[in-house]
Amino acid sequence: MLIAPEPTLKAAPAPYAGSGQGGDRRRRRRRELGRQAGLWRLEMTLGAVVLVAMTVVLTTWPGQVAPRAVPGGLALVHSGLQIDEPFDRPVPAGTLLDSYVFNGSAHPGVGYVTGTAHGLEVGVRPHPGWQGWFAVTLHAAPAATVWHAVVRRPAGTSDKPVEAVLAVQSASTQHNGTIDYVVVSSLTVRGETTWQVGSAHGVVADAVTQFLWRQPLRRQAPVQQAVTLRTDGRHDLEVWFGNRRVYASHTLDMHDPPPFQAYLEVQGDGRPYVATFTDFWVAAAAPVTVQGLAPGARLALSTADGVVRATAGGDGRAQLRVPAPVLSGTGTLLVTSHGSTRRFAGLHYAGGDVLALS
Amino acid sequence: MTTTAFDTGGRDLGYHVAARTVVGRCPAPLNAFEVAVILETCGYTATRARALGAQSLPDLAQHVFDLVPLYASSVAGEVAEPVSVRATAPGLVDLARGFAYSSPWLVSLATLLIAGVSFWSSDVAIPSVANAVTLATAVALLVTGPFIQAFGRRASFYIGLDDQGMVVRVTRLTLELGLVVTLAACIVLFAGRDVLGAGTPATTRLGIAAGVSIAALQLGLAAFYVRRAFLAIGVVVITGAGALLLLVARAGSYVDPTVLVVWQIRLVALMAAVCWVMSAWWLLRVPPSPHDPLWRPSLSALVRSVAPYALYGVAFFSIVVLPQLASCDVLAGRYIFNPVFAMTSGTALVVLVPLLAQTVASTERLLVQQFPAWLTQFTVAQVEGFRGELRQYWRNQLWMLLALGGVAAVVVLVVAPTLGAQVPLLADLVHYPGMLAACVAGYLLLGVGLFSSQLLFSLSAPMRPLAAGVAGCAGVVVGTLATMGLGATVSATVGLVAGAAAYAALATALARDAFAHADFTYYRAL
Repeated sequence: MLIAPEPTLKAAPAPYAGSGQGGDRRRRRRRELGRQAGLWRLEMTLGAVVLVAMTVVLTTWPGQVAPRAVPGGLALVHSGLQIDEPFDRPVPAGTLLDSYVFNGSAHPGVGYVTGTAHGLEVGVRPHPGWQGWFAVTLHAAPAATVWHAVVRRPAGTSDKPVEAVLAVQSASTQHNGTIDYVVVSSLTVRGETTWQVGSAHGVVADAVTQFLWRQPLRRQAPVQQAVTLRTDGRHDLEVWFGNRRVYASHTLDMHDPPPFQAYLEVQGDGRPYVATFTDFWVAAAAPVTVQGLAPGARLALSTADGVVRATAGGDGRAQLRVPAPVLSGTGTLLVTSHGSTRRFAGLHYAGGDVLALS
Repeated sequence: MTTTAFDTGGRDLGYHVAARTVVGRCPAPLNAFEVAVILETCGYTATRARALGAQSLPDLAQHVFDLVPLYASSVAGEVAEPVSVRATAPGLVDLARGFAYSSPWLVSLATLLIAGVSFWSSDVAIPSVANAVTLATAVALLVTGPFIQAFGRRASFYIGLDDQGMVVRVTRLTLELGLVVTLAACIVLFAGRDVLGAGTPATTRLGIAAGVSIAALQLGLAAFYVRRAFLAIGVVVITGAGALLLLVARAGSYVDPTVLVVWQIRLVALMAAVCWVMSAWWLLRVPPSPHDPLWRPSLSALVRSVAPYALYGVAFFSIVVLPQLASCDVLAGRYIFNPVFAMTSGTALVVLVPLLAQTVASTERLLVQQFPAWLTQFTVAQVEGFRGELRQYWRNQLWMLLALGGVAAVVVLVVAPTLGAQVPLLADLVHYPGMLAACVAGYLLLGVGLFSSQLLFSLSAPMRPLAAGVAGCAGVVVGTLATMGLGATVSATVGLVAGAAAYAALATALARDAFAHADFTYYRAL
């Protein structure tokens, strides 16, 4: 910026040079001034350090995973859990906006997102035409990731088309406008509902969806599904409803560049509609690793889908290959070594976690 | 050496210090009255005069005037280095120096185009983050403006006098206080937004950090400008830009926008910290003075002397910032970042680069070379010649400014839409040619007003630029309110043009008047 200019000044020469008058007093005064200037320099330096430290603290972004306590005797060396939002209690809109962006083809106010005790509600109020609204995760995750959410549509039927959606989309949309995603949705048309899996591509808007799998339209379709999804964005796509794998392919030609963001979304034709999302988590598509074991130690992790077992190798590490639908959960870990068994109950594990036995 | 001045001990010591001060401001005062005026501008009061043993300030001035011949000769020799009496236009070197003033901004613009992120702004489409960062930038500019102007005015004065104590004091009262006030303003603003439900917890903290770090960088660079340490500015900002580009390059094809903004703000804070440390240990370190420090002016005297400059800083940055705020629907009681207006007005701002360069070159040439030469070579009897030279200089420089502005405007209006068709980041420039043209016109007018104001400052006439700045603010308010019904973007554009036009018109008229009687203007200011 420009600073108001001032004529350049130069100090006049000292009038008393060599006169000897008041020399001691001036020297003392000069020493005092020098000391004060030195203190000021230290003050400025300290202030600069405080500025940087304060900025680092203030700009530390909140995570989407609450601190996890592990049972005594275990330590969490690395967490593979990237998002863990049970949505089982009300969440203020401001707090949600630190983790999600709300947007859509509907106008703000027509589209809305609310964090309730029953889940994250994403909805649209009455509107003209086909419009939608979504909450997209702020952070993106790489290809080797498992995405999970329980998606619930309103009970009952609708004459006009309405849709509840969990989509995993290339994060580059915000940069280049390309829309590449895989989608699991509940579509209701003329009073009948189907759950379906698709892959879509487009630019800016109106992406074209290729449906890969769908249930028949029926009046008694499930109101909710625990959807788990894994894709590399190129050839692989696997989808589970609950613990049942409903779709898998390793030969697709999708060209969806990672990393990906999750879209929790609704769309509808005119009528108000709301989808509710709970138990939303994103974890690394990797085994749960336990290290610090005796070679040959046997591990058993009880999960919601049964017990997962592993044996420690010579390096004292064991890898528990937990099925994708329960890749994040709470279970009991049993470690048996030299005839004794240690039990770690209430372990909140996730794919990609590295745990150390102490 | 004469001894008459030393025979009464400590009392005369103060007289000598005052004489040295006066000669520093005016090598050859005409009479005791002029000495009294200069002493007052240096903070001498009637109380201080009595403390020094004089009966009053005029009495002190008479004593000091008697001592002036002791010091006048040595200083006069330094000032009287003759240059051509005929005014010469600033050359390419002067213009290059002027361009250096804009280097932080130019480097910032380059990194924005290359990487989509920069020191003050970034291409982040997350509304809550964009709201926080742009609001913080506006607060930082508005709050620091007056403190930087005040610092620039006083710091150069005391650096010239080798008075480290006063340099420290002025820095504390301007730059350090400016940072504290910015912190307080940001806390109040963002906490208020949080309470009203307009912000989010993380962006509230981010906004405070952004406001303080941007303000710290602005304030930290002030000492570099005062010392004309352009090479050092270049090293700091280019290193910062390099770090930012490296971060983006290493992140691969996708950069998490929140991570990008966080590192952007941390980098700005780090650059600011480096600037503050360099200022303390190098730029604001003056050589040990072989003599006692001058009499310290009271706080009120100091505040009075810089108040017009500080208020001008507020007014000028209000003309720049208020339209930005208006475009974000502030008049409707909310703040929603307006990317279209931000992009369009931000691009139009480029026309200011050559205008700033010309302004710096003109004022530097006038202050450092022409003015001292004229003052030493024209006698009172030749005052008409002096006036004529100044008038001619003012006219020539204004024409040069207008020519540069015209070329810059054509370049922006032709190149920006072309770039917009190729660079997705600049796509809005293609869709809003009318708004781009209006913003270019607005910033051209702002540049003309700034030029006139800076030249008025060089005559030590701060009240006129202040009046022009206030008129500009009024223009922004009136223009914005009058067109509220046309939407936030249109009303902000009209506000910008109206404010800049009022500012330019009044500043130019006042400058023209001042340069017509530059001798009166200058001595009245003394």
